[in-house]
Amino acid sequence: MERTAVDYIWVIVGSALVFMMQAGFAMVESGLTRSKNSINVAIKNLTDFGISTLCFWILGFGLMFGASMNGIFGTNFFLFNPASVWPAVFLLFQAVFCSTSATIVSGAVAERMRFSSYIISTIILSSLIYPVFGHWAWGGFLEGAATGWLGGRGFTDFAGSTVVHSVGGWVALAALFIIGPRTGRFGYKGEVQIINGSSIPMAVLGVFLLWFGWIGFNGASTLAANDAVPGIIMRTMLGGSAGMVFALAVGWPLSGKPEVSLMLNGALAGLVAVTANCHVVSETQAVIIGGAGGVVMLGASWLLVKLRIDDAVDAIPVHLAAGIWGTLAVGIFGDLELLGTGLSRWEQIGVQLLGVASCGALCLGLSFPLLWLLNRFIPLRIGLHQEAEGLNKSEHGVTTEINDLFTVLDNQAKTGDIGLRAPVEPFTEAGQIARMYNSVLDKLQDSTVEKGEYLNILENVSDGLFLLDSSGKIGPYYSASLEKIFRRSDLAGREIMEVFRGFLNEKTRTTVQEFFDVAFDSKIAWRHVEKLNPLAEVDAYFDDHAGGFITRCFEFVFTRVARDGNVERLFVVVRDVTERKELAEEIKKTRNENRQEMEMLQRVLHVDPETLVAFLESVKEDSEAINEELRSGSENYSRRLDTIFRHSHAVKGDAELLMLDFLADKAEALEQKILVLRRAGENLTAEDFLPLTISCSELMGSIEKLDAIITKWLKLSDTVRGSITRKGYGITETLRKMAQRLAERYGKEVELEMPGFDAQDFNPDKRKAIKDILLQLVRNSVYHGIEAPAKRRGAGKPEKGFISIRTETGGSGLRIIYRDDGAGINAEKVKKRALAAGIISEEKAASLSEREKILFIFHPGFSTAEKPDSVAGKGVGLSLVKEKVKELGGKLSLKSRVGSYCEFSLVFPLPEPADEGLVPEESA
Amino acid sequence: MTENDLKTLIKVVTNYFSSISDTPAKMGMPYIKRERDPVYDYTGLIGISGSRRGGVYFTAGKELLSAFGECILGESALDEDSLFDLVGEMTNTIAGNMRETFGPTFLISVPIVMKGKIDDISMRLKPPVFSIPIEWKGYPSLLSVGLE
Repeated sequence: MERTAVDYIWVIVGSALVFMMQAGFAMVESGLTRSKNSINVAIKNLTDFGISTLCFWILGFGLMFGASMNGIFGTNFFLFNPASVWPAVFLLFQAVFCSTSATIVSGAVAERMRFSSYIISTIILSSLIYPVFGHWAWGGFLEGAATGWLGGRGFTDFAGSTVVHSVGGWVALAALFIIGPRTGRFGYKGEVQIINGSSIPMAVLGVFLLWFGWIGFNGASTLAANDAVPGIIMRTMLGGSAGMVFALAVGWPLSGKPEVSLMLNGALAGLVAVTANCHVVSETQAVIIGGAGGVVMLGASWLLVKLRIDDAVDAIPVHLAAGIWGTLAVGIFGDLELLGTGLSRWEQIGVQLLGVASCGALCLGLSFPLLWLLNRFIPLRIGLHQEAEGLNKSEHGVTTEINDLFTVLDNQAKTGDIGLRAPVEPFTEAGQIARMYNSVLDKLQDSTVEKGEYLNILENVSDGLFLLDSSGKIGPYYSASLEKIFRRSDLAGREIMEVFRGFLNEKTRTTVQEFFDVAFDSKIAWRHVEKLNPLAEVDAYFDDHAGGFITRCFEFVFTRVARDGNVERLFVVVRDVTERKELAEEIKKTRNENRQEMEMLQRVLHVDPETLVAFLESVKEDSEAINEELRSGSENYSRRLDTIFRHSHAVKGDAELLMLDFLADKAEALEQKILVLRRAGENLTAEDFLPLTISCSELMGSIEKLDAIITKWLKLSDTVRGSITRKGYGITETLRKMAQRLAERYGKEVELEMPGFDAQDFNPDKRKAIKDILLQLVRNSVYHGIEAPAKRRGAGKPEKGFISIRTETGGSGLRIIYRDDGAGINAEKVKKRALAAGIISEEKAASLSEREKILFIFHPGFSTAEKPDSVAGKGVGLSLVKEKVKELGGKLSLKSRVGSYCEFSLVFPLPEPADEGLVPEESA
Repeated sequence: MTENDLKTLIKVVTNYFSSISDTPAKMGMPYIKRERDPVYDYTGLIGISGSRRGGVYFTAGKELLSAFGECILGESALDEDSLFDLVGEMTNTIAGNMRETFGPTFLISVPIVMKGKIDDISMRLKPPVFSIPIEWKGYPSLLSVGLE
């Protein structure tokens, strides 16, 4: 066949158009993959063109179009050096076809195949697989007659639905079997994750370029600029259009939306389908074939997903599935005359099937084991980390600006470092986003720094600071000191009343709740509310979990935080003012104590220290005896009362003796309570003794205070005038003073003498009893015995009464003779009082002797006093004398003459020798 | 410490005994606590704060507690741990009743239970400390209270 220059030019133009399809592939594949891989995909398209062209020139062209070895492969034309025009044009045209086939693989394996492995797979495809199958189908086309075994049988594939597209598709399928799906494409439970492309507009442009290139792909496959070319181009266009429309028509209802891939891949599938047969079908048939190609593509795509085969850009449905269909369509629709193979329709279909099957067998049979082997040495797939990072970065060390932005965001998310800034690429969309993002970050950083400053303050301020919302909850930020003050952590979001429950009593909490109610009521002026603050100074009690409390004093200051006139929160400042308060209380207490001490000191200053010491010992003994009686006294409550009374009376007597009224009053109060109980009679219960116990505690408290002040005073005296020992009893002086004081009280005059009385005659442990006895006798004499001066004068007696106390030692023991020159004891008067008090009956009274009548004066509770007072009238004094004498093992006798005298004679057993260390009697 | 405070406190304790058993507790003669006062085998201590400060303790021997345990648990042979728990339970109930009785200005602490002789127990109470012997089914126990 003679070819003209126009033929050459047309095929060269066709080659150029096919070459441009590489750009189309690059754009489609880059656009349909994620931006982190887009550079890798694009560069693979460029690389595979260069490599496949060289490989095809070195080896492929010879294997495909060299002199045939039994129709299996060519044997010459390696490193082909065309000697004339046509072989050069033919080489050019076939080289770009080979590259087209090779580049199909890159889309399917995009986003996870290693670049180096891809190069090797391209070499295998363009040097071996494509040329060998090309030889089977198209061998001998350089010369014009088919020499390949398949072509020789009438297999027709006009522009390469199988030879170019299916071969690429089969190799891609083999590669996918080995490398597997992209990470995350299929879930563990079978769910399918759609991975969207980075730039659909670019993919659309790529499809346009491919479609445009197809004019050359199919149009120049005539290898001549003849009459058939326009029709072929026209049917190519129809096939592509039909593929797009049919895919859309079927896919839209199925997916519920016009997915982008339906149009993109539908058009390409239509073009692939019509490629094998566009020279032997009518326009209508081209539409049917192209349309069916689109539908076949959809079905294949669905099947791949079902089989969990992840084709990144649907290259296999488009190029392999639609390629198979287009190849079979040659047999189904092809004009047998135009085909000129001499085969019947079924024979033609059969040989087309054979071509498809043999192509599959060859491609999979060669590529799978070769790629599997390759995978053993150079893994086809990149690592998980690189895949996540993106092949742009991991394979080529380059990034896109959107990827850089993503990297910064990812880094920030991981580290929380808001100091990082996204790279701003001018004139790019990502750059604009990055600029805006950075300015947002600037603002955020500013406010974060401000917040940091505030947090610093909250961390270090010693006061407790927090915000309280209207629902009574503590805000999320509060000063660190607050946890120390409230003695608990995690206060954020806690209800304040729940916190208060830990240390405020119920009454205070109720008041606080009422205060909060008004504090949040914006209608009530703050100046009024402020005054109601129940926590201005409040005691807080923390359970110490050791059976006690830790008491602190807090000062709360509240301030309203209002917005638009509404009180949204209260700003609260809490201070622990315990130390300040304790100091103030301590000062106040000390001042008070000093005042009390001074007062008490004034009261005791008139008594010499020795007497005071003796007095203290005495009253302490009595008060302890009262308590002991309460604790473990007689089973008989009345008797217990009597004992307590006697001790109380002794205390009172002692106190009066020294004119310590405050102490005498306490004892008097105790006595009054005893009198109340006595009136209750026999029906006393332990509970009735409670007031007595309290009075006793008060008495003891006063004695303790006095003891403290006297001890202090004595220490002071020691310093001033030398050592004062706590010397023993000054009975004589004590009694004399008391007698004088009592006499003054009742308007009488008394002189007390104690000739020959020596306290040392008695055992030290008995001296107090002796003193108590004498004290009661003196009280009795001054109150009852000694008459008023006028009366005495009238009776011919000296105005001044006379009391004498002396001791005698005889065979019966130690005798104390106590005598006063008073009115004596009137037996009749005693009897009358006993009758009046209900102590005896009338009959009994009538039969009493004078002696028996007089003995009533020793009866507990009996008194002849007309007006009972703190000194007399309770019937305790002589009763106490009797009891004491009995306690000491002594005997008591009494002589009296009405109007002349009264004499008590007390006889005690002789004492054992006194201890050496005993203090001497009488120091005053 | 007022007479009423003491009465109320005694009532809280004696009522507690009455509520558990048919045998009422008998109050003994109240007195001022001295150092030589008895502390029985187990002692429960309750701190008081608020408008009054100080504390209360209740001390009882094994025999009383065993008898009391029999009343509320139906078991007479109680081991040491159970006796300890029992005193804790009694003190808790008494503290709870005190909270109700003394009103909102009193704060009653979570009670603690101690065993054997306790040296510093008087330190927890504010003087003067009143001791009230309480006898139940013939067994002695002691309630001590010291409030400012």
